[in-house]
Amino acid sequence: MDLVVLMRQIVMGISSGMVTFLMAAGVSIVMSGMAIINFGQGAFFMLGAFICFSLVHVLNFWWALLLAPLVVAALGGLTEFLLRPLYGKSMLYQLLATMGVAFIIIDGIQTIWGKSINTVLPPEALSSTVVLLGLDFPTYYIFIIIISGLLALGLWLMFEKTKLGMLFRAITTDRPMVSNLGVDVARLFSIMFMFGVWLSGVAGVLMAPIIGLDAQMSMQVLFTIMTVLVIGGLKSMRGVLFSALIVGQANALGSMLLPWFYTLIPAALMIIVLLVKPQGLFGKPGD
Amino acid sequence: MGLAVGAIAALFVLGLFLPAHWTQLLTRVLIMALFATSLNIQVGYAGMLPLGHSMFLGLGAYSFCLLLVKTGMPQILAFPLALLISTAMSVIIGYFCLKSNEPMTFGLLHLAFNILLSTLINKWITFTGGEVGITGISRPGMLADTTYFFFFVLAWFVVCYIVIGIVVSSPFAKAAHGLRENEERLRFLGINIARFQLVIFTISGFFAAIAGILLSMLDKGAFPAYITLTKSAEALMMCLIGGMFSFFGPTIGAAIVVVFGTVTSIYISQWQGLLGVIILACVIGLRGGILGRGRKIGVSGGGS
Amino acid sequence: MILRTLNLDKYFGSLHAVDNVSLDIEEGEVRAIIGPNGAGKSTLLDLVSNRTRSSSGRVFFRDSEITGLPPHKIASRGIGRCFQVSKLFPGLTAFDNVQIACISRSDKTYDMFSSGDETYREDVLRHLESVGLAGMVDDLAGYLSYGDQRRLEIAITLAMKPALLLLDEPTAGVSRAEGHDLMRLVKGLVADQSLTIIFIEHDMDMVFKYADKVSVMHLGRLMITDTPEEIRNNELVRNIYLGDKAT
Repeated sequence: MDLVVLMRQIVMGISSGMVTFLMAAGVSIVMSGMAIINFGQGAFFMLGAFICFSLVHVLNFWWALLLAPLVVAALGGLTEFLLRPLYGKSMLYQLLATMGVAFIIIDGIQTIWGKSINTVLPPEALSSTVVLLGLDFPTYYIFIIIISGLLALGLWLMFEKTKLGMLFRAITTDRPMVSNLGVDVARLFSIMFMFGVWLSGVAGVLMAPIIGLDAQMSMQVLFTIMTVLVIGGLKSMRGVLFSALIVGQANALGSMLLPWFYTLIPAALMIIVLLVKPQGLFGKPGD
Repeated sequence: MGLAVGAIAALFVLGLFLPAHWTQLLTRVLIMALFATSLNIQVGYAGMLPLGHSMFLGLGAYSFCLLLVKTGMPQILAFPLALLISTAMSVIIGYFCLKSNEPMTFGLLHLAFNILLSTLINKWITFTGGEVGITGISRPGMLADTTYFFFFVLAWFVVCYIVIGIVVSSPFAKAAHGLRENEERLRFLGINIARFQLVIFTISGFFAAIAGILLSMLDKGAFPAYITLTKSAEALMMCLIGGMFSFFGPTIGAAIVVVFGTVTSIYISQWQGLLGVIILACVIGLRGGILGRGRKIGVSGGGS
Repeated sequence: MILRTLNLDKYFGSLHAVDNVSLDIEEGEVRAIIGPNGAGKSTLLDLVSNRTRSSSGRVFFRDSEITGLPPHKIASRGIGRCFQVSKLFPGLTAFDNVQIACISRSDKTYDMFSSGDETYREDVLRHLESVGLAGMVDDLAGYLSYGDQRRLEIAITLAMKPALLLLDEPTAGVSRAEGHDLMRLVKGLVADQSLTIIFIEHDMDMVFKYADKVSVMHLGRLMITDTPEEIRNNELVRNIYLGDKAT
């Protein structure tokens, strides 16, 4: 087996794993803090990619990376506003509501950009290859890994070191108390949700040059996110990172080694984890 | 009761006089209504949350078509056999999904199985025809005619609804209400919750499989679209829109979703988005659904 | 002897919630379990009904061992349980609440073809009447007053025709008068339906008036079991309560 090809696959696996981590982290944060499962995360991801597509034509990729996630986050804010009557209600409603939002977004994408599959080219600076350890790697994938890694680090720093992060964590454990401390919980929820969606938007922009932009793939993306969350533990950031990387590798190596079989691995893994340790590999009992 | 008989008579008459593609639409409505009602046996009556119910629709359709294509047996044999296979799978899948006795785990496992089966069907091209599905299943004898097939489906619809109707007014259903309202209390009244849920689950899967077989007869084949996550979500939406706590709620929901989807997709291409809007509206505004007035969930006092 | 526990132990992490409790209850007895908050009383009932799995120890009901049996099996063997916060079916009527118990009792849980509304109609009405809820048959359980909800829970539990009834603070949160009504009702059933009762109670009036025997728990341990009179005068018990509850 060609070492170069293998290494390339591994790198692709890491990069897709990191991007999935970002999206899954977005869902996990919202889940932990607000007890909402955002089933629209896949749609927001696609939206980010499509907005990037448009912005790349008008401005450039770097502007897209900055602006697209912000637009997506704004829509996330609107969504959060719509979801407010549902707080504390059965998960079924939130699931269906966020799915409804996903449908709207998917259709919106198809209305604005049409139904054919679009593509985006990576920016000039990142289009070639870079040499690491004596091997050629596509620069763009390395770029994704670096950016996602920085974001992951930033997430960690935010949670551990900043006031906002502290508030996020507090809400997860004791919401009424936070409210008693005079914090505007409603606004915090808004920020939390928008942040979770923002992560998806960033993921969308990062992946835009690599994938074919197809609104209908949103659900597939959602499924990957759910798989990662289930395997890693819905509320454990570490678990999500770990399982995102595993699933990313499983897909990358699997598509090379077991082309027929590999697509079944995520679902099978999900089932096994749910049967053996339902709270996820890193989760604590109590889901 | 009289209303129901009247409705059936009206459907019968409609079937006689409508042009073929409207009759087909009506047939599809009936089948999906059965599918949605089968789901509601779990959701509305027992408070369970199956997120991947389309897998039983697909299992019914694929078992039926595979039996026909691979063994050449007559459809009249394949029907009950496919039903048997699907129901058996329902018991197995249900057992695993219910094992943990946690609603969230149940929902996610259910979803995972749906995805697993969906992926399997899409990828096992040699066996299941992959993304193309199985085609070329023609209906035998008189059923080849659209109108006669409509009556066939109508008959099944009526029979199934009568059976389901009897079951949901039985002592069994009363106990199932208890499951929805306070599982622990039901347990302390001596009921084996796991077994009880499995029975409900299997009944639900049984009727979904019937719908699947009828659907494959309508579409003359079995297709991966039957087993998608979106189809599962559609079923949940049908229950929600029409009303989870009434017997005919899911039927109304199915009628709305199917007719709406078919009609609007001819005139507007954005029907999916509009569906999304309707769902949002229903979830936020009308939590009991259209037929749901007067029924509340989460009445306080005596919590779990 | 209808109930015997042998060295029942329960640890929640390092908290020794129930510490080596062995007790015997005779058939037809009305036993009160008292003790300060945190003494482990509710946990003890949880262990007996296996709502919580014991860390060690055994439980015997009517000469057969029920240790570790799933709660639903213990319930159908004849142990009924009323909880500190009433567990009812809030969205269903009082009638439906009791009816479900009757259905379970008669093994009709899987009967899918009879009429649900008619099943055991008389029995249900009788049970509701016996707890004084005849006028609330069609009211939703979730909307009943607190006291009525406690009565309903008793009706539901009685509809199972238990031999042993475990009551967790039956009179908490209701007026004195209502409390006495409830206890009188329950005690009356002891004779009528050959019932044995274990009840956790903080109201000493109720304890001294209705209990045959009293067990005192403290910090998970069973300290003493004796008649109400003896308990009333017991120095150790006084100390446990710091003199503020025992009259």
